Amino acid sequence: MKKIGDTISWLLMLTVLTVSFAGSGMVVAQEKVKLSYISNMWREVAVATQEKQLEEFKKTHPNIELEPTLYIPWGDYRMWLLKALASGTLPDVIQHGVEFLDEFAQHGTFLPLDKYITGDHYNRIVKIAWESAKVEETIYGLPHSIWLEPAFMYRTDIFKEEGIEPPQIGEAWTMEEALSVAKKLTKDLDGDGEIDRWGWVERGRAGWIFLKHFGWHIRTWDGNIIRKLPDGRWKSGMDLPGTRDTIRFFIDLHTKHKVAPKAAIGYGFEDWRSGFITGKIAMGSMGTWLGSILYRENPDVKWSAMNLPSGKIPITQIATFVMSISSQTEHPDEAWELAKWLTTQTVEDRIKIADIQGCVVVFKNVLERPEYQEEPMRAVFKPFFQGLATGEIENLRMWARHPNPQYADIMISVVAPTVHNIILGKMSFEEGIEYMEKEINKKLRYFG
Amino acid sequence: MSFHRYPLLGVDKPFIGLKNYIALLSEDPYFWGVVKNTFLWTFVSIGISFIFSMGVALLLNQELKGRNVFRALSILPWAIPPVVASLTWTMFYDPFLGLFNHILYKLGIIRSYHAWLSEEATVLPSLVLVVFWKYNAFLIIGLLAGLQGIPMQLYESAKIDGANTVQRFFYITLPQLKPIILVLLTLQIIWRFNHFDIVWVMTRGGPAHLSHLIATYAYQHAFISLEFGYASAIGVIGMVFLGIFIVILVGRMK
Amino acid sequence: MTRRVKAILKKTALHLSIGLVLLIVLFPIYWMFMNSLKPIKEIRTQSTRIIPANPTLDNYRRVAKRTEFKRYLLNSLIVTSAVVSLSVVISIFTGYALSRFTFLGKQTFSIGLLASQTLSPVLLAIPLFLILRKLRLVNTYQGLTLTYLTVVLPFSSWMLRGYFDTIPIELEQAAMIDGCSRVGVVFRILFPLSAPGIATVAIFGFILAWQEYLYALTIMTSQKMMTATVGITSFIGVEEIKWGQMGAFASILTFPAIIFFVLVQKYVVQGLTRGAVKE
Repeated sequence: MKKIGDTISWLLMLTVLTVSFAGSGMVVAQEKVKLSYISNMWREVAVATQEKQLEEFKKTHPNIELEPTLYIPWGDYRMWLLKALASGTLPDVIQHGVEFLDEFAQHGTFLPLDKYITGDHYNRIVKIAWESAKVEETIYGLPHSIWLEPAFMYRTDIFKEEGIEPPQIGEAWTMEEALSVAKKLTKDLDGDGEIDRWGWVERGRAGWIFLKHFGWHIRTWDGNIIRKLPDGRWKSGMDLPGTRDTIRFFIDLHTKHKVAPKAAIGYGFEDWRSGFITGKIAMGSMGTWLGSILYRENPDVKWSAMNLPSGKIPITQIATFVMSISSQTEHPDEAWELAKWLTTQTVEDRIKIADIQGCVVVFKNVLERPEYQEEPMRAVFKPFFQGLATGEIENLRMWARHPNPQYADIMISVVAPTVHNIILGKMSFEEGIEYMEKEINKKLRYFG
Repeated sequence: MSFHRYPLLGVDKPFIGLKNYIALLSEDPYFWGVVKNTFLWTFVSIGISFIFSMGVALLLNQELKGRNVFRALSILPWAIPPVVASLTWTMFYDPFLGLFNHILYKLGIIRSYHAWLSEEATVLPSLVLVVFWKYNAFLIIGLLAGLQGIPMQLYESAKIDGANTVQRFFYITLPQLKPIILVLLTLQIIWRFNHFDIVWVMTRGGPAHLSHLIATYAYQHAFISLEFGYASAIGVIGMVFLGIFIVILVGRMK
Repeated sequence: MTRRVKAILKKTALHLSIGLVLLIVLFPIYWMFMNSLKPIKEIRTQSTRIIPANPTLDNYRRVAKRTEFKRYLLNSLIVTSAVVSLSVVISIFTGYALSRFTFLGKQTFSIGLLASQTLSPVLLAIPLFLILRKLRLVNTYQGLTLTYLTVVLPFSSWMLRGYFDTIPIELEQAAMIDGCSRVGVVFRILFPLSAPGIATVAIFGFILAWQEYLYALTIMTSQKMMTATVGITSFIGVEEIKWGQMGAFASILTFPAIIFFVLVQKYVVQGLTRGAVKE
C-alpha cells in the first residue's frame, strides 16, 4: 500500500516536472511588440500606480505587450542590472537612479535619447534634473523624481528644550556652527555616565549608505577621493587638503568631539530611524524620504530639516530617479513611447508615486504650484522646491556621481572600512591616509 | 578564473598567474582577519551548539512524552528562509527599540543599550547566536537519533557493574555515538565555514570588515568590486583551508 | 523523599527545562508571526509589545492582493518539487552504483563527491552563472534546478550509498536468481528498505530549493520566474522594511515547509542513524 502511495507521489512530482519544463520552453507566437520594464519603486502605492499606468498604456497602444518586473529587491538592484547586462537580458525600459548612471553608461547600457527629446519637453523639466541624466552632454535617460539626499534633519522639540534656534532650510550655516550645536545637544540625560542623546549622527553601514553620508562631507570641504591629472590619468585624491580635512572632521565627530557614538559606523537606516524617533539622535543627515515615512508611520515625532552645513563651499546634494532605455532594445521607438508615458504623460500618477517614495517631481509647472509646496509632507522643504523650480540654488550636486566609474567601489571597499578603522582606533590618521592612497591608486591602475 | 584578472564586464581578462594569490595572501590587510573570523566563527558556534545539543538530546532521551512535539517544533527555525530570520533578528538587535536590548536591560543583564551589530566586540557573537538558533535543531535531532540507537543492555550491565551517570556517559554513550558525531560534525563544519546568507544580510561584513567571513568577503569582491579573479582566489584558498581542517579532524577522530 | 516523588520531580524539571528551551527557540518565530498581525504603525512604535494591541489581518490581505506572490510561491513549488524528485531518482542510482559496482576511479569519485561539498557556494555562483549564460539557461526553471542539483546530488548520493551498504547483497542476488532485473531490484528491494534514507535526501533537497537565496537571485532575472525566497526581499526597500507584510508572507511560506518537515521528520532521524553508523 505504501509502495503504491510512494509511486503515485513520484508520478505526480515527475508530471509537475515535465509540465514545468514544457511550459517554460514554450514559444509564444509573436504578433505584438513586447516591451519589458523594470523598476525599483517598490512601495505598494508606487507599484499599484505603476500598474495602473501600464494598464492605461496598453489601452492606448494595443499593439504593445508589456512585461513588467516591479519587485526587484532594492539592495540587489545593481547586481541584478549587472547580471542582465552581462547575460544580454536587459529589459527595454529601465527605471533607476542617478547613482547607476555613470557606471552603466560607461558600459554602453543605455540608449542616447537626445534625438527624441523636444525643446518643449526639455524646458518643462528643471535643469538640474537633466544634468543628472547626462553623461558628457549626452542624455541617457528621462529624469522624473528628485529628492534631497541627504537633508539635515533634527528634532524640533529637542532643540526647543535646549533653547537653540535652528536655521531654516534655505539658510546657510557652517560645519563649525553645526558642531557647536551638536555639542550642546549631546547629553547624558539620566546621569549614569553614558551618553543618552547624540548630537550629530551619520550612518555608516558599509555600502551605499556610506556614499550618501560621507560623499557630501567630501564635497563641502572641497576634497575628492579620486582626481584627474592633466594628462588624463586618474589618481587618488588623498593629497588634496580638502580630502584630509573631510576625513579629519568626520572622524573627530566620533572620537574627539564625541557627538556621535562609535557604533554609528554600523548603523543602517532602521537603526538611525529608531534613534531619531526615540530622541536618542537629535540631528543628522538623512534623505527627505524619511520625512514621508515619518509622516505616515510616526506622526507624533516633531522634526524639521535644514541645509547641509558647509565646510569650504556650501552644497546641496540631490538624487534623482531616471527612466532609461536599454541600448540592446529591439524596439527603441516603442520603448521611447513607454518611457515618455511613464514619466511625462501621466504626471498625476507620477506625483502620487513621488509622494509615496518621498520625493518630488521634476516638472517646473508642478513645482511652482503653491498647493504642491504647502502639502504638509513637503512644507518643510518648501524653499528647496521653490529653488529647484527657479534654478536658484547654489551649488546643487548629485550624490554618488563622479566622473570616474570606480568611485562607488572605491568608496565602499577602501574608504569606508579605513575611515571606520581610524574611528575604532585601529589605525592612526596618517596610516589610514597612506593606506588609502596606496589602495586607491592600485585600483585605479595609476601605476599601470 | 582565479588565475586571471577578471572584471565581469571588462574586455580583457588576462592571465596573471599567481598574482591574485600573492596579493591576497601577502598584501590584503583584511584577509587574515577574515580567515581568523571564519575559523573562530566555525569553532565557537559549533562547539557551543554541540554541547547544548548533546545536553538537550540527553534530556529528551529520558523523556517519553512530548518528544515528537519538541522535535517537530524545534525544526521551525530551520524552516524559515534565512533572509527573514536575518531581518527579524536585525530588528531584535536594534540599538534603540530592539527587543533584545529591552529584555536584557529589564533582566538587569546589561546596564545600557548596545548596538549589537555595530560594535566590534559584539558583532560576531551576535551573529553566532543567530546562526546557532537557526541551525541547532539539526544537531539535536541527529544526536537524539543516535542516542535512541544505543541498546539499553549496555547501560543495564554498566549499572550492575557500579558505573555512575557520568561514567556511563563517557564510556558508553560517547563511544557509541562516535560515528554519528563524526558525520554530523563534518557536515556542520562544512556548512558553517562556508556560511554566507545571514551574515551578509545582517551586517554586509560588518563595520570595517569586522564581521566578514570568507564567503562574504569573496562575494564583496565579486559582486561589488567586480573582481571575479580575486574573488575566486579567495574562494579557493578558503576551500583549501577547509579541506585541510576536515582531513585533520577526521583523522584525529578515527 | 520517596522514590516516586523523586521521579515525579525529575520529570517535572525535565518538562520545564525543555519547555524553556522551546520558548527561547520559538520566540523569534512567534514574534515574526505577531508582527504580521500588527498594523503598520504599531510595528515601529510599539516594537516591544509581545502581543499586538490591535491585531489585524490587513497584512495578509495586502500580500494576497499582489498577484506576483502567488507566482513566487508557484515558482518555488515547481523548482522544489523538480529538485526533490530528480535528486532522489538520480542519487538512488548513483548511490546504488557506488555501493554495488566497482569501477575505475571509484575511490577518486567518492572522495571527489565529498570534496565538492567543501566549495563555498559563493565561489560556485560565478562560474555557474557564466556556464548557464553560455547554455542560455539563465532565468529558466531548468537552469535553477540544475544548479540546485549540483549542490544536492553529491551529498545525497553519498548518503544513499551508505544506506545501500547496510542492505545485504544476498537479498538482491536471491531476487535476481528469481528472475528480477537490476532495475527491478532497486525498486522492489532497496527502495522500501531504505525509505528513511530516501526521505532524508528528499528533505535536504526540499530545504535547499525552498529556502535558497543566492543562486535563486543570481539565476532568475525576471519577475515571473522569481522564487519566494527572493520575492520576500522585495519587502525590503533601500531604507525601509515592510515588516508586517514580510512577516505575513514568511508565515505563509513556512507553512508548507513545516508540514513537510513534520510528516517526514521521523524518517530524518532514522535516516541519519542508519546511514551514519555504518560509515
